[in-house]
Amino acid sequence: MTSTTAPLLAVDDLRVHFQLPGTGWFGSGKQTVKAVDGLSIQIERGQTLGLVGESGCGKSTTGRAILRLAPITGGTVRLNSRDLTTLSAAELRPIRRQMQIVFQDPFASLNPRHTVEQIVTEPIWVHNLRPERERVARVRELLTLVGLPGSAMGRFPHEFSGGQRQRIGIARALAAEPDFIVLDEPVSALDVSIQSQILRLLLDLQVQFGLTYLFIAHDLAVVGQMSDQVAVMYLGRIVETATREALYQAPQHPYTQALLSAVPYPDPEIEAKRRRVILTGEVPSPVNPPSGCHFHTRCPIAADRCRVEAPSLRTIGPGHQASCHFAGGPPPELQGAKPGTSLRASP
Amino acid sequence: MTSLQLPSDTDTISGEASRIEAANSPMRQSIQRFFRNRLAAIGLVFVVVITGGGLLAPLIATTSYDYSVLRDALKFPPCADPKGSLPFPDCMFAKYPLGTDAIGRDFWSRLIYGARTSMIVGFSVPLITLAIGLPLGAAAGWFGGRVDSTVLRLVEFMTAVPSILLALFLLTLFGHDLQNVIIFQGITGWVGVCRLGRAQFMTLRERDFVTAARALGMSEWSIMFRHVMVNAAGPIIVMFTLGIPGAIFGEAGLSFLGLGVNDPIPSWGKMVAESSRFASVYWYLAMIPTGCIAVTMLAFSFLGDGLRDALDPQGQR
Repeated sequence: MTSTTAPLLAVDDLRVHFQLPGTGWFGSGKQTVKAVDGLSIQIERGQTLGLVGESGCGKSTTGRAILRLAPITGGTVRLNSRDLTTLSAAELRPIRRQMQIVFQDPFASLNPRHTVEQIVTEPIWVHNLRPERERVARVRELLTLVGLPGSAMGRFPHEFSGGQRQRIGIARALAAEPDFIVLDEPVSALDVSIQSQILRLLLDLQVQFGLTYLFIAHDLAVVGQMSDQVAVMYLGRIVETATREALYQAPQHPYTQALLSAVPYPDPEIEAKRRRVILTGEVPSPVNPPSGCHFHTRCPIAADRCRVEAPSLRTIGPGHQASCHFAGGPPPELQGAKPGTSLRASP
Repeated sequence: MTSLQLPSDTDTISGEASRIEAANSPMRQSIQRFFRNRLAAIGLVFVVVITGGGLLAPLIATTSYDYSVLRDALKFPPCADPKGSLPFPDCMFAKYPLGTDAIGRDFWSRLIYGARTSMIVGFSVPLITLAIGLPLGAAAGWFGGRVDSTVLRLVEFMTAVPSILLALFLLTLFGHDLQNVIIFQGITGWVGVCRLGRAQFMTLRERDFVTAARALGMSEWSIMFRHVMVNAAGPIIVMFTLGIPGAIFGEAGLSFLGLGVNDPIPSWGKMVAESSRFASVYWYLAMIPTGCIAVTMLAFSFLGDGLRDALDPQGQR
């Protein structure tokens, strides 16, 4: 075991770049997609980090790169203080037991030709976790844990509903007895009524087994229910990370503010009066990200400085970081934009 | 370990579960779907009959396929002979149920042994194409990159050269007999299987359950066999079945051209070629083997089509 001070998962300066095939003759003119570009996160044991962002911002790629399921271009990923990026495929295989994944699409993530028993036994079989004769009982136990009847064992995935399949996927991840699970939009494909059941199941399992989650989602409301810490991603980078309370009550980055203002409030009176920040335009292509701050093309408070200078992720409060030149200060409309003066508001 | 506290939704889950219909494996569903298709079922019956005939040829044939009685050359079938013995049951047990060919060999026996030739060719050629094409296609689809482009160049070369011409060339070069007909048809006909295998492995490689298996720490070989092959098997079985009539027709064509099976061994294609000279009088000598080829090809095609519909994963939903 590692010391209690080291986080379970520490990702430092993770980069995942994909080469696009060249457009010119003989493959010249190759372009690079920077799907993940210098991302750093830490998750303490037993905690949940919510990773939010629009589709295409690289959040799923981040999850897969951490599990070494996507090719890593640079940076380090440490699980239990052990760097995974330098391990060979064979060295990685036994460690994979400690880190599992639950997928978004419960239809694609289960082999249609295997029975539930085969699916859930697989991790036990691969890592030789239980003696042969205890395996059936173990599978039944896992199915009970995720709320499925033992009679599900001999059935095939197509006989189950989306929520039930997601439970099978969770049982498969649990069968490996992991420390860390990447939840890659586990409820996005489900009905809202089923979503809360699955979320509650995930929370209960976390308490019961001391699991650590990386919860990937595009829905801030769902992330708010699940996470201790939240990181907001935009174009392959983290733009703001904070505790759940800080992020939801005092978002600093204009992108976070826009995302939060898109979450409807369940009271028509307040909802009608609420000021909404509406973003215009599309997410820029990660092949040609904008200069300076990547967000300046859509930012409601962008200034000249943002077009030139890329902001770094600054600490603006305890455990609260944001990468915006104006973060931590008053809204820039109130600010005399004098060159050379500090942008941080004086009290 | 204690069971989880799920106060409100445990009931709904078990309620939901009890509504699940009886266990129904994809395999059993496929079999049900297959037999619902009447043409496919008829095709299967014919395939069983023809294959059985080929296997049991020595029992069904009245004489040996190469036993020649020159005195009896070009005898009409007894049933068709006006001076022959009527009524019907008699002629079924006549010495030459379908008459004789130009050198006095029993046509019925040659037809039955011809089925045997066709079946040998029909099953061996797709096996060879599978043995060559599937590993190549699987490697190309699974590894991609340089392996893929190398295999694709080879496939393009094979596509550019007409396979029948290549087979003819090789048969003239190395001599023609049953064995060479099978081998050369095999090594000129693997392109389709290769393409199919490549496409299957390419799409399955990206599926989430394959990623899940990799995340579990399963080795690439295990993933290929446990997850990819199981799901690729359906289309490959169909390809194999539909390859059979192609091989039978190819053998018939080569034999008709005189580059097929060598002489005493009968083959339907060769029987058509030998009989076409007497077609003005002994028209049935060419018609019967032609009909056999047609029926066999149809039966295998219907069987293949039925299998394709039955094994189609889209139909499982």
